[in-house]
Amino acid sequence: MSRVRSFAIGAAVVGVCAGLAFPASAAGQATAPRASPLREELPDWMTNWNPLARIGDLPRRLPAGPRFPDLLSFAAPRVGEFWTAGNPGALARELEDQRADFRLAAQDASGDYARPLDPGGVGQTAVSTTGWTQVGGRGAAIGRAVFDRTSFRDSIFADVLVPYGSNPFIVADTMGDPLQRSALRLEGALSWRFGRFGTGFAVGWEGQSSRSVTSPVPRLDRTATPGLTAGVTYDLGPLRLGGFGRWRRTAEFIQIHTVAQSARIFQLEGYAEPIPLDLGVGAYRRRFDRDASAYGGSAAFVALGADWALYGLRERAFEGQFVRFLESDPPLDTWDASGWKFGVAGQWAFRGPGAADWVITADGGYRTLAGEAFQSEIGDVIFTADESQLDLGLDVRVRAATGWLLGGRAEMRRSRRDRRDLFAEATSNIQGTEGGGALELGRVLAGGRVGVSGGVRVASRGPAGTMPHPTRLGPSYRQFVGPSLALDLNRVLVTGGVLTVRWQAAETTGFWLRGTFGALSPSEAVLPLTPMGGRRAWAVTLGVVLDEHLTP
Amino acid sequence: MQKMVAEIRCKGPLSVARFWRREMRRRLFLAFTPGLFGLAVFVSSAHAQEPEAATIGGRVSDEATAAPLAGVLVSIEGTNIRVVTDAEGRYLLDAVPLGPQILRVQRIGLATARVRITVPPQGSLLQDVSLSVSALRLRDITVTADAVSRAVGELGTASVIERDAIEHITATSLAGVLQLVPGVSTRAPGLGDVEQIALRAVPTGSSVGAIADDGGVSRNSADLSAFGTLIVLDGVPLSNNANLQSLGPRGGADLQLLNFATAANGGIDLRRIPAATIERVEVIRGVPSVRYGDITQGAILVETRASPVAPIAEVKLDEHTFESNAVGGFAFGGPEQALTMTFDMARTRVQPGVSGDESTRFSGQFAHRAEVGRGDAEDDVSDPKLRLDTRLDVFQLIDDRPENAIIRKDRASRSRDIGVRASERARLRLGADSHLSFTGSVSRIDQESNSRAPKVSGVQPFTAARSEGRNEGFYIGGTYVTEVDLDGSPWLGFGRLEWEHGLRGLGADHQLLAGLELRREWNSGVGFQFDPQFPPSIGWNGVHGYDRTRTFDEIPALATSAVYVGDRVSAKVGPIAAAIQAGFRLDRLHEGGSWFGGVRDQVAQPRISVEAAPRGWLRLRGGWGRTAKVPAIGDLHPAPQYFDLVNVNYFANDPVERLAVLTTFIEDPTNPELGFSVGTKAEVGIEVDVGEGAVALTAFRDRIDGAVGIGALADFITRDHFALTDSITGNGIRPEIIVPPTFTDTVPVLIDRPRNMFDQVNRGIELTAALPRYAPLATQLYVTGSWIETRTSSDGRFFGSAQRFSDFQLSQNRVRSPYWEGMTERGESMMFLYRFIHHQPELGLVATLTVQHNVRNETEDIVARDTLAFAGYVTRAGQLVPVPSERRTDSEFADLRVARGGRTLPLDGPRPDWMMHFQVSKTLPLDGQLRVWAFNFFDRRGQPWEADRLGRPYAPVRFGAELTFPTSRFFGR
Repeated sequence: MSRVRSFAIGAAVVGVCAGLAFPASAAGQATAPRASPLREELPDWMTNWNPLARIGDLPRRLPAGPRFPDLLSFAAPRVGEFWTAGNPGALARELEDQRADFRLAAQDASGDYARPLDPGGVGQTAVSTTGWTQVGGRGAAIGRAVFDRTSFRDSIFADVLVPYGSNPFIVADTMGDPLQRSALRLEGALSWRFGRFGTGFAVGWEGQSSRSVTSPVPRLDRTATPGLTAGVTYDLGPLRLGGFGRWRRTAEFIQIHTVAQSARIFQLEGYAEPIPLDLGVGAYRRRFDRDASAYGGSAAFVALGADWALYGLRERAFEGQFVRFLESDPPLDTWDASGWKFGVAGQWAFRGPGAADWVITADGGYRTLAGEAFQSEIGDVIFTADESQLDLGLDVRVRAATGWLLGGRAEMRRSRRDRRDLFAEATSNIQGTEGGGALELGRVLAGGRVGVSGGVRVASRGPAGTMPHPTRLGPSYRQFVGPSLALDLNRVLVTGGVLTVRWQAAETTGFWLRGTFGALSPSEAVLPLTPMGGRRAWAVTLGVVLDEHLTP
Repeated sequence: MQKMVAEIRCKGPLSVARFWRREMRRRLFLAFTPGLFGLAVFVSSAHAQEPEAATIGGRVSDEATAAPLAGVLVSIEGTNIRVVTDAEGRYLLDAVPLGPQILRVQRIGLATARVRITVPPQGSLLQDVSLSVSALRLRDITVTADAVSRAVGELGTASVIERDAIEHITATSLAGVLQLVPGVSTRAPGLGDVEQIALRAVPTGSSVGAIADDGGVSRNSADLSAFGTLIVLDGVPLSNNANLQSLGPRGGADLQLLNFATAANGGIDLRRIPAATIERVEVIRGVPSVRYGDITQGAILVETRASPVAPIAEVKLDEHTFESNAVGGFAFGGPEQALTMTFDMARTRVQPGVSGDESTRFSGQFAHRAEVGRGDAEDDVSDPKLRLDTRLDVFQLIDDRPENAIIRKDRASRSRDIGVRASERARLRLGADSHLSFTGSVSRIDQESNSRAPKVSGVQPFTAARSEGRNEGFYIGGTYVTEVDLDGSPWLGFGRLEWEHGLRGLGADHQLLAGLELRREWNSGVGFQFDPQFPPSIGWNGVHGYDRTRTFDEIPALATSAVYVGDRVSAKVGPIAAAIQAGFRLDRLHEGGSWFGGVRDQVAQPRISVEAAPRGWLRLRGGWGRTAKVPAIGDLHPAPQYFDLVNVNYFANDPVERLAVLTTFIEDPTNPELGFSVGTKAEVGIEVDVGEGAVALTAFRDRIDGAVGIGALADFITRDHFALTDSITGNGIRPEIIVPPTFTDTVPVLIDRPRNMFDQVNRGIELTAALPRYAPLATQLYVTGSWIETRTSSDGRFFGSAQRFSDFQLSQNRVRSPYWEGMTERGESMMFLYRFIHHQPELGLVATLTVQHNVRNETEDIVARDTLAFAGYVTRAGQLVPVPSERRTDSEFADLRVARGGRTLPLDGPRPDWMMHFQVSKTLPLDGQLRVWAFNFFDRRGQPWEADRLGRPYAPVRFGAELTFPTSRFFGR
């Protein structure tokens, strides 16, 4: 067994080496997939504790449909203060096993159906490792490291971290040359139990560095994001209460050299027409400092035959933008946002007819955000946003004694975005409803040594609302902003499929290979500026998982 | 006395003070040195009693299985006390000196364990140790420089950096490793630029004209410090004394546009030594023993991974740098012979995305160890009859800055160094505790540099004559691309014969040392070459002359020799355990590049270091000593200076009619008085053990007298003016000169003469502390801090800008020009590094958080700049006429009252601030390790330049990963 396991791990090591040794091959998941109809590979319960998760922001993303149940990788979602709310103080109580996995993933997305600040084509390769274990008798640890390389192939007019967040201050330019980005993300949590108390912290750091590949106007951008979460829990009979706080800071730095040809920069500030900045010989620099924090409480209990976890958080985010880099400089433009975040999850596990094991998990979340953008030259608030988002999900898994596995997941998202440009006197109100389901069927064969599963998913988005008419505003609005609003107001159909094969090489060592496919098919454009065409994506992941059985 | 006066006159009035200082030191030394040895004998005899010692025993086991480990070498660091564990994993060490010691436990294929112990005055100590394949799984791990370590056999303050620590600082070369030394700033890995080390010095810019021109070679404090730092690789010194890969002191500012990535005469380029192949680094910042010469600052002793190790491969990657290396070794022919090989390849892209600039390094090493007569001694562990240690090192370092048609048209440079070194260390046991050692080495570095740059100038007369006299020249100018080649091969031959003898007498342990050292360095190759039709220097810089091509084959060699004797005494004085290391070293610089050619200069260097441990947890240290550094070949044998004075400048539109006549004068700037720079080092320190941690505080004062710089010596040459036979343009007839000349005038020139002109004083306080581990958080805090002040002063003269001085040649009406004297630069730095090390052996996890806290950075020029600051004036005949300060306001000197040139440095430095880095190391299956790191992970910007403050920019955020995996399983081992 040890030889097989050693070989498996050796393969993972070689995979890591390969990923590192061929930087031009692109890929990864340290950065969330951008402009891709595929979701992040890991389920929410594995990322909710992430200290690097965005705070006080509701980024707009392309529709991606519900996540596949991923039957051969995870027996069931986990519910708890740590897994659902992300309170690290609860980890020591909610972790009783150990696991380590290594992944090498490649994915690609392309198509015309994209927003102007999205890349036309994007390829990404990533290596990652995730592990958790108990530490001593009272502690537990979880950690994750991800490296990725991403190639933005064409038509990318901005190289900012999140071009379609809640903040309207975005820098766009006219270069449109291919970019290559490297990213590293490291996150971990440690937790201890002391009698009825539990305490823990999670720390993380993410760095990104990107540059144009060959360009007469080189772009050199970088970001650094540290994050910290600390929490405590207290057992009060059948109820466990907790409190936790989060802090996250992002320093994003963009730099554009104009050495061979002039460049035009647009400092977008909402819907108003910005004054284009024509650069001669020199460099353009802008820095975004984002400070975000959140605090709140969490609870876990058993009721109605189910395990429950719920939480509430007050969030605050502040961003300042600088063009000079003196430590004492006040920011030129600022974005100040605050909001609430609530979530709940419940899980029932029972044995049903035919000795089948059922696990039903329901989860939901609600977020609000209200923000104001202050522009220093005008000396006043020029843009406001009032947004909310409701997410509901239901995950059902059935594991039959015969080796058949069946899983389904349904998701619904209801969002509302009221955004008002006070300077341009323009308003957009967009309500979107996105819903769909994913179904996956699997079979464990050969006495638990081989597993195969396949699944499909379908989702649709049906938005309603208004956006400023293109003729009212300037060319920058028509080029960069309007198409993104029109896309948000467009009906879209999401389809996708997955096929997974797992080979249990040893009792606690498994290999798996998964291929995923997804496509966006928009309806006929009904609004001007709406992007045309479709968008497709695929992903292939090779993984090795240790200390976990493929239970027949 | 007559002889003495003559010598004073010969050196000039400014050398009198230095001469007397040297003379007094020499006399004091002659009186003092016997006193040192007398002190040692007194200490050991007056309190004659048996030194106290203890016995240490225990068991060495496997961390994972708890099984006993046999064949493990257990030793007390810095001593010859060592033993190998038996089949039960047991060991017993006798006669271990009391006080704080480091117990070192090592076996091939396992991570070396270093355990801090406090040896009781008498009796015994039980110390069990566990070893693991990965250091990350050991209970005791040191991932920074040890707070109170010593270099082996040394008592001076030192930082010892072990392999485990090297793996935790993501270094690409030795330069990165040295960031663990107090006072050295942290840096991101890479090979982007020349890397040097300035130990115990603050870099101060040479901003005011200590040098006679605004071009040429500057020697700032960092250069002086780096040049005076000895780097010893596997027992053999490296040197750049013969590295001539610079463009020389002349050429003017426009020549500086041609840049080579080289460290000529300014310290060794540390990029050539890969961090991955280093096993251990000892940085002696205090007073070194007499074994180490050619030094004014400190000594860095590097030991590469030469003992047999299980094969290991490593890959490192970040945005700028890709590096891979492999280390492996095996024993053969029984346990007496072992061969180890290391290979490393690294490439750094300097500005990815913007330019194609990159540095590439390849290095390899073959190490062979053989032992003869292992079994014929009582202690057959590590003291065979004869031990031979043979090394063959090769490296290639390429710094390529290719032309970029967009960013850098017609501008490119490339430097390539290929080095080969063979060395042999032989140690012969003469008796129970007596050894004779021989160290020999020959090294050669082929250096090829090429630089290309565009030039634009007005048309002007020019000559490339190589001999003195009047010649017809030609006209150059306009726009063209110049290209310079520098091809040289510096050689170093080194040999040392050393006798060590240990004895116990007069109630003390003695370790006697005597040695003879011979060293010869030379350079060969075609040297400095360019096309005379497209010269690199075309500005009107006749003040310093024009450059000519120069072959290096004609430059004499540099030969030095040294003898040294010393004793290390370990004794007990009353209740205090003490150790004294005292010795005497004599370095000689020989004439004619041969050891048989007479003595050009010599420096006697007494040195003493004392350490006392009045308590088991307390140590007091002190040291004083002199050191000496030989001048570089480029300073001993500078290139001749060519002065081309224009006699006739008849430029017509028709090239046929043009006539340029120039007279070439050749001046030899060689300074026969140039000799050693002399250093004086003094320090006191205290070390306190705090539980499992330790705190050390050291105060030092290092002084360098007579560091070499380029001084301007005013002289004059005569210039003839001629009438022409026909000066009507457009007639198609070229004029002829009419002899004899119509008149003759004089033109002052400046001879760039290397001189022992700089004095530097460095003083400061260093702190190293390893605080006890805080168990609840599994975290330990290490702190290094330093406050250092550097003052560099020069007795050189400053003659103003080259342009101003050149007016003598352009205008016959100019009769005099002011000059200034003296220069002092001061730099001050205060910096703390906090390293929080979180260690979870159960998880095989080590997380390191480094906080660099910059408290103070200042640089200032202490020099008068007002219009009355001039010291006198130089005439057309090159005469220096001093003007007393009380007369400088007189109206007759109105033309001299001009502000002194040079860059103005602000008085204040940046405000205190900080930046942070982290590294996380994690064991992987198959005994691998994964390390991820981020430099300046908050992406702090640093302090900007403001009106009255210096800036302190920080390098932007960088991150990367390293993967180490043993490959022994692939080879079936």
